[in-house]
Amino acid sequence: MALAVAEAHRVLANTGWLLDLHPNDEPAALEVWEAHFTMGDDGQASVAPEHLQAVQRHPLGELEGDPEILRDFAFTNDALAEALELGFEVVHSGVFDYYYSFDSVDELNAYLEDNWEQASANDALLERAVETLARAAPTAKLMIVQKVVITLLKKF
Amino acid sequence: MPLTQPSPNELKAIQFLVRFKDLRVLEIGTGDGRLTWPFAREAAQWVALDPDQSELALAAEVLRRVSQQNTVRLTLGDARALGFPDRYFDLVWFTWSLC
Repeated sequence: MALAVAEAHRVLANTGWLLDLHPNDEPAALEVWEAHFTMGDDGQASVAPEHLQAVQRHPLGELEGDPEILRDFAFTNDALAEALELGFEVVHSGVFDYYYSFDSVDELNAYLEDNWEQASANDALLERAVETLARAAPTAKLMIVQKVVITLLKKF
Repeated sequence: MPLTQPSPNELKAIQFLVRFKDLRVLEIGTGDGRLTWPFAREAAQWVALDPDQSELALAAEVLRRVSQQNTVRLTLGDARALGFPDRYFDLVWFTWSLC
């Protein structure tokens, strides 16, 4: 990572910018959301803006994160902090939520198996998901909520 | 297959910080181009780099679908040894790749 940041510094013009997005080093959360959803062009469900304030969120717990991968995410934070010694200054650093939505526990499991080597859902968590979905409105969604760090650095 | 794109929160977070207009941009870790096509058209130049040839092929297909195949230069490469001159880009963007 340090090499990549050093290379970024080299190819950047003076006063150029380095922008980074990466997941933070906390396990992602699993929730059930009840709201009015619309479908985006990417086939992903989005909460209709007029209903965003009315979303009822039911936290279920955390996915079990792969410690090595979570450690990698922590190292990324370190690499960006060390970038300041290379000749960068922080313009902004913040966190936003990134959402993945699913209609069922089966769909969630299939997605985790195919795409998320860094996390899994244990049986107790899946049971809570099934129970909560059963009690929720038919349009309810299972949501993975992943915190993403966004950082903007300026080269000096 | 639906076109993948930034999530609303992601888009908002990026647009709050950066205007890509007229910039020379190096995007590192382009993957399937999800974060490339919404922004590349604004830039003066956009180079999208990824170490995975199959991901670049996906990105190429996405860019064709949005008629931006001539806007972005897709490049196979390694972020630790960039084959570009010193001080060439205005913005380097690690898109979920510095980890």
